[in-house]
Amino acid sequence: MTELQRGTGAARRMLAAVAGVVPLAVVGVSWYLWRDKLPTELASHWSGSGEADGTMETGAALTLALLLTGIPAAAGLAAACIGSLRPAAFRGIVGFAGVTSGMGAVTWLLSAGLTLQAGSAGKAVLGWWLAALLASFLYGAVPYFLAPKPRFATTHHEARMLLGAQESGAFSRTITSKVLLWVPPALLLVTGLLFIPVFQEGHAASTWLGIGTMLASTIAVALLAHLQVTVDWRGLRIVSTFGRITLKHIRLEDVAAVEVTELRPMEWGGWGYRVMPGRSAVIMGAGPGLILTTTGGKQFAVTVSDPDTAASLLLALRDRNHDGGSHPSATEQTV
Amino acid sequence: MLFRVDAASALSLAEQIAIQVRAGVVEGSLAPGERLPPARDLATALQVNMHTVLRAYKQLRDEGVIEMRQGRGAFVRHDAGPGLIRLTELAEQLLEEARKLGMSRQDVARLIGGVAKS
Repeated sequence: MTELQRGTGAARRMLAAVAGVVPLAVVGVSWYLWRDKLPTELASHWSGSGEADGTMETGAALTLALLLTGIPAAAGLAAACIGSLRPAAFRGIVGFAGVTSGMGAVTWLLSAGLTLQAGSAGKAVLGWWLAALLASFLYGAVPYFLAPKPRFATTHHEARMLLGAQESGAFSRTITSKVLLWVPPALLLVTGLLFIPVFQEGHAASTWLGIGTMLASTIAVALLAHLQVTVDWRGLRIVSTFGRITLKHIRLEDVAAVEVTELRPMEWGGWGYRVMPGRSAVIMGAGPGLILTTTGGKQFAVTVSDPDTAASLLLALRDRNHDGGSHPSATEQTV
Repeated sequence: MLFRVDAASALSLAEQIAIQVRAGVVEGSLAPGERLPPARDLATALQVNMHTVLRAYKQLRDEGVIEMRQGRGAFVRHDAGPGLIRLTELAEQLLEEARKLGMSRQDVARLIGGVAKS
């Protein structure tokens, strides 16, 4: 890395951290401008796009907005000051901080702005501003893309497994996440705590959507907690052991490079199936894993024990695929 | 774990699969209770007939290395260990030697019965 690159890296880190402070500044400035006009109560809850059906004291709403934008801003600045923090981790922190503070700032702006516009909290109409509220989390993309781009491909795996002309190989491993295994029972518990009281009060009809969403999330997490990683003539595949659903499939001819490395959930956006711009991952925890770069320039990471064997087999199969005879029994005997 | 089968080998494909499962148990890469890949999946992955994989699994089951649970697949038995594998290999060698001498399986069983009594 040259001096110039290091310089721009530091500048972009600072820029990303500063972008994280913008929502806090927006909340602060808007309060300063409106402070004399704001009523004692602000609209804080809408059930549809019509008039507000919930209000909050202005002081409480402001405190909440300052916390929601202040804590992420401080976290981003602190992260920018830690020089040893890996670029991918820094990007994850400022991105997540931006999501939180963006939502915090827009919520405040809508609560205060719409109340001011309508004259009183009860008359504030949400209307199409609902879209702004829903899109506010996108602010996370600003610091995310301002932060320096992480570079992962450092040491490419070069070793190839020696396979006979008529030999075929298959690598198969189940991967389990201890973290994700705890989530479904926890979600079920939360669902019970949230909905059983409502159910007992006889408001069952209104809760079905909520219960359905919670149960669907529980099943989705349960599907991700126990997976099977296979490498064979079809390429790399990640299949859920429960239900046999293929979550990821990279064909041999699409594999450009393979890397064996220690994966950290922080660098890939957490646990489970993660999708980020240009890269995706199945992360079951910190530990050994593979990073595949496809011919399209995208990266895919998966935690798996014994990644060396998987990488060597994958490269051997891909090279044989390139040389013709993809199927060992299809290879004509030359003897 | 890694499975490899070579059509050019003198050993049958099923035997090759069985040997690798046994080796996996001995060296610890297959832990007791671990699930083996479903026969259909492994057959597709290795591009062999599913019955070849099933033959290997049945042989391993008869040896007491794995157990097949109805509808749930094949698992490494909790009591399967290097000792059992070693004994199975010795039994196979014994049968092979007996076959060379022209002895039948019943002859071998009788022989072992006789040794056990003495």
